[in-house]
Amino acid sequence: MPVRLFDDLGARTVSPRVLGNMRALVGVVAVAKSLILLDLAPRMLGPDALRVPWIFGLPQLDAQTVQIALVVWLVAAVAFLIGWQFRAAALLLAASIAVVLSSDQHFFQNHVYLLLLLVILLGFSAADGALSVSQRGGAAPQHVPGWPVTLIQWQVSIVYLFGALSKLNIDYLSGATTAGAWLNGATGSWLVGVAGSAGMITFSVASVVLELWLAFSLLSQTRRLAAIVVGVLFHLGLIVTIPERADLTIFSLLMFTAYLPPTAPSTTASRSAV
Amino acid sequence: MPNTADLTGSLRSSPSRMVLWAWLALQLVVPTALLFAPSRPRPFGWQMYSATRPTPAFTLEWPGDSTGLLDINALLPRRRGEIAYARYVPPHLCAQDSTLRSVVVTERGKAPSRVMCP
Repeated sequence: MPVRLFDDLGARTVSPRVLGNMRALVGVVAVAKSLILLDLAPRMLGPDALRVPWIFGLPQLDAQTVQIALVVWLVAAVAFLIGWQFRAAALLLAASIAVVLSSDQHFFQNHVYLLLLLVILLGFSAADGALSVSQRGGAAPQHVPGWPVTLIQWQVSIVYLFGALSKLNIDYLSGATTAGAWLNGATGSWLVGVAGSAGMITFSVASVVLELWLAFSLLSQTRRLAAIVVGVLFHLGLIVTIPERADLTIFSLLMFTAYLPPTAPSTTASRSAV
Repeated sequence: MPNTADLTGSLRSSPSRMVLWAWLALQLVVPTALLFAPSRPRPFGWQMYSATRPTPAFTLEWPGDSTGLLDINALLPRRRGEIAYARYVPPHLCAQDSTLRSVVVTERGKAPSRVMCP
């Protein structure tokens, strides 16, 4: 597979619609996340709030600058979503996310980091070639470079892979971490009660196996469809059992970006068929 | 089939394979290195829900032996497992309350430590 990937990164082409769909999904998530953070920011940045710099003792951006960055994030996300001035919008969106992320460790969330990576990859692509306001007039190309699609598919598999590998520890495999997350919500609490400690160990081990399977199966042409179905169910399970619903929905939608292309990265068929 | 003009334009606008491989390598190397970090979860490591890091207890001490236990939830609108609060909370409390003498930090598995306010 690595050898095929090497070929694929340079040679794959995709329909602009594939990238357009990915851009629209990431754009919707970027808009939603900026609105959530704009609502939360006054409490996170207030005079009494604990601010945590990335480097101890380093001066931090003031609250007003962070809030301006969040407004820029929102405006750029809307432009990114509709494909207006796409390159500038992507650059501005990536920069504003980076400013907010770097302003305080409390702004770090894995899905915000994933959002930043996806915006960067799509920003360098021809993702405004379809479903975009800048598409008006002129003949749209039938095929555009597919390397951003390949990298996004690999990126999402990397997230699943390390999500699973990092859970290979006693704390997680004992079921304690999962129970701790589930006990904060009604559905999860009910499941913890029904499953008992043996059941929680089974759930925890199964989730590791599932994430590992998803990491590899989403890159496999033969198992891809099954992986998409299982992946969607897995994410729905997360959203139902863990009460951090808005964040988990956003995380899931970003992961679904890699579910959108009709083929896996390293296949001969994907070179020009999509 | 892509037409020749499309493909020529496409390939011309692709970054070099070296850049793409460097991106991919970075995305693999950073989380791999963070798997060996002393505590979990760590930022940039895709270690979501991989472990629980209990928040320390903070006991506030004022002159005259009066004490109080901090409700950390009142201080934080969002608590993150990646953050070592034992390091950041005492200086913040001292800055917020000039009458505070010290903060005692109690972490699971460690002896309590006292941070004196300046």
